[in-house]
Amino acid sequence: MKPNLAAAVAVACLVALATDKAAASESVFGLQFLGTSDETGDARARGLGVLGAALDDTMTALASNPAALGGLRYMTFSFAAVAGWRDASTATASTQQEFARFPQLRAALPLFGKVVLATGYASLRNFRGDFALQPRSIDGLDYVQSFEREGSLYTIPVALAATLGSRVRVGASVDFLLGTIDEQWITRGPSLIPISSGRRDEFHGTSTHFGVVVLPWPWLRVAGSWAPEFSADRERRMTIKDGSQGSTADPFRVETTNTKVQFPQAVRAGATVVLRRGLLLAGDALWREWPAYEGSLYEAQAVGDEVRIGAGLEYKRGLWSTVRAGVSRWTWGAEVGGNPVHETAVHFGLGVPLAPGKGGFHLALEHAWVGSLAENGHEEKVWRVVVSVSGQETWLRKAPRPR
Amino acid sequence: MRHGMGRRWLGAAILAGLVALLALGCEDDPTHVGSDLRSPPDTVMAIDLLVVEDSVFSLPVSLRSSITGQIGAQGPYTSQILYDFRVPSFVVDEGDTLSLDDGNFRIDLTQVTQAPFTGAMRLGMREVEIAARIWSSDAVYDNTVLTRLPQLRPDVVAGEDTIAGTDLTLSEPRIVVEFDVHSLVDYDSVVASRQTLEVNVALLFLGFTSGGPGFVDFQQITALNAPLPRFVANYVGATTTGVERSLAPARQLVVVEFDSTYSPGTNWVVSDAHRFHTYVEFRDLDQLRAQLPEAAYMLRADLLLVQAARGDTVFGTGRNLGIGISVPSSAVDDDSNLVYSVDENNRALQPESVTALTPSAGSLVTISITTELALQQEGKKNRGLILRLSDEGTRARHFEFYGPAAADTTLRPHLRLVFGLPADFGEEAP
Repeated sequence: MKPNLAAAVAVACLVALATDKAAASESVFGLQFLGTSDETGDARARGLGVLGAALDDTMTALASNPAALGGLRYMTFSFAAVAGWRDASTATASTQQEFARFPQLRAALPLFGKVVLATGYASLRNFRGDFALQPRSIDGLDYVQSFEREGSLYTIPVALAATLGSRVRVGASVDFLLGTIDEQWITRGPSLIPISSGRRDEFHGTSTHFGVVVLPWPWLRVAGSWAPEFSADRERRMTIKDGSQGSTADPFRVETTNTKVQFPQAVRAGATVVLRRGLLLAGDALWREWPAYEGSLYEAQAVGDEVRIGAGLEYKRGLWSTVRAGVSRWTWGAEVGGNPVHETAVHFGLGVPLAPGKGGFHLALEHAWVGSLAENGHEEKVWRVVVSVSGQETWLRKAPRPR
Repeated sequence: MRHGMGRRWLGAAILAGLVALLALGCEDDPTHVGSDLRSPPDTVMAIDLLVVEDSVFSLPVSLRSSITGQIGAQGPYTSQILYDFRVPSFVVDEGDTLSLDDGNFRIDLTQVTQAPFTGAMRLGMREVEIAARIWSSDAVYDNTVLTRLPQLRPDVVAGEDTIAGTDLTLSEPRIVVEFDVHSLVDYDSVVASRQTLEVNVALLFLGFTSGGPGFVDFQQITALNAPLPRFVANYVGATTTGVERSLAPARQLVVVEFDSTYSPGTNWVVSDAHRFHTYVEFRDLDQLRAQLPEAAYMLRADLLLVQAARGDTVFGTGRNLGIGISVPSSAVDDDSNLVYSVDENNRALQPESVTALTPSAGSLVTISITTELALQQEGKKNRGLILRLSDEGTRARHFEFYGPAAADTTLRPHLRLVFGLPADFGEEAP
């Protein structure tokens, strides 16, 4: 294994260990519905304010469009990490919390001909969050009830991408959906047995994702992908158990039910345009049809279409560095306070691509405004730092000629 | 080359910062923000349960292992102490053979800051009848609970001592009783045959000269189990004025006599020495279903008692004095007489239930029985509870509580159960 690839793997392991203990209460709005979206491209895309539908980068395996993997010429190992802090406010209170996550890890392998096989881990939704109610008492016995939510929905995608001719790349992936949503209400008091009343939803299912990238002219790339509706199995366990800190005791009451949950389709589309040498304009959009979702709303008042649009500019300066800036506007799928939750963000980025066949790393900094007191009763200001690292190595065959 | 090095340092710095942020920056304490976005479980509720059946019964216990000696009287209890000294009838001192001529009995008491009783009590000693001296044999001493002093000889073998409650507040308080060894039943024959004289006596409580009631409590054995009371024997010879030898008893035993005319009335009683226990059974939790959803779970269960005032009969001290509950075993699911065996009554107290206790008429005593009731909630059979003092076999102590027939209903014992309801997470059906 070449040093670049080995270093990328080693750093990924290090970051994974670090995030293993990390809490990640990324948004107060994630206390409801299906948490917060983890959907992301690599830090290059985040620096541009886009998800990366049309960024068929030849140096990363972190692609939101499976067709974009078709541009890879080397065995590639990539990961992304996100960390940040947020200020959440209501009309009467505010709090600041940090978060850290490790949403993507991918390995891609060019095979015979012009086919690229990729797999890894991609986090879709994040559910970590908590709060405590005001202390109360009954019959002179004080107690506090708190709510904790954690878990994630993620996929193990197995993707195949190919270049057809010189102007079209296509890709498809089978995504094995896994994940849990753990929620518990805990009642604790100095004189009371600590009890946790919990609900754990465990999901597993299989979905598909199809994508295409068209390169009509060297300065233009147009891309789109579609993930159809799919059904997943959900096992729900209602439990009553010891609510002591760190308790691993078995629950003393368990009730299990199984059901199907219908997840909605999603469409992504975007384009990149080379305006002049070294200057790239990128934009893309996401639409997910949450009204077609058939599953628990986790106390969200209602759901609507999730829409995200973003655009940005990338300027490559010299051989060694690239700067980026972008904006995005995201309408979340769930309504809070009777209104949709909007996220508006500005994005900045740096990139340090290595020579072809070696990989590189990208850094993005985002500032986002989520929700509003007037419309949602809550609002947040969020800073996020996104880092993605890729390592590359030649694998067996002669790499396809880059276009 | 310079560019390459710079990139590596930049990359390393960014990654190090990221890892540090991931590792260190993510332990948050929950706040109230966001609490309106999820529905809390229904309010925690408290329910009172009343007694279904109860009984008060006694199982006298031996005080042979107690480190505390006790003499005096209060309520229906009178404490007196048996001693068995083995006294050589002679000693050899510097070539002279000296014979036992007289002696005294001494107990060093512990100085206290407050007189344990008012007035003064009169103490004396008498010899145990020869036939009754089997109390100090292994077979009887180890296995028999003496609820009465054995038969005593009528002859007075010692003087008397009067000790006032305030004496114990002075420096180095002690009980000293002068002894007339010549009046012991075996003295002449034992001295003649130069055998060991068995001084088998009882330290008697002869009544209060004034004031009372109360007890003199003192340490009667060391931490190494060595007896502390002493018989100081005086030996004389033909030419010597005498030498003293201090002897510890071979056996000592506090005997608490109980006034059989005592009745607890409607009160619940826990005591030591004569040892009263109270058995109590509340309604089965299943019968709460009309008031409580089946899914409710228990957060706390307390037995609430109010100490009853009955003149001077409620008393007790001790470092580890407490009250707690034990649960009859499955072998005796139900006892129609509600009087359980000694073995059942000797079952270990549930640690969480042991509650410190001091005599205080009208005070509320809260005994936690959460663990037992939580188990009953999850299906364990309701076998009732046995209420008793912790650290039994120590000394006479006696506490009473208003029972379920108390005229004032607010003073009656009851079980307070605190329940919570499972969260529905905002959905009627899971």
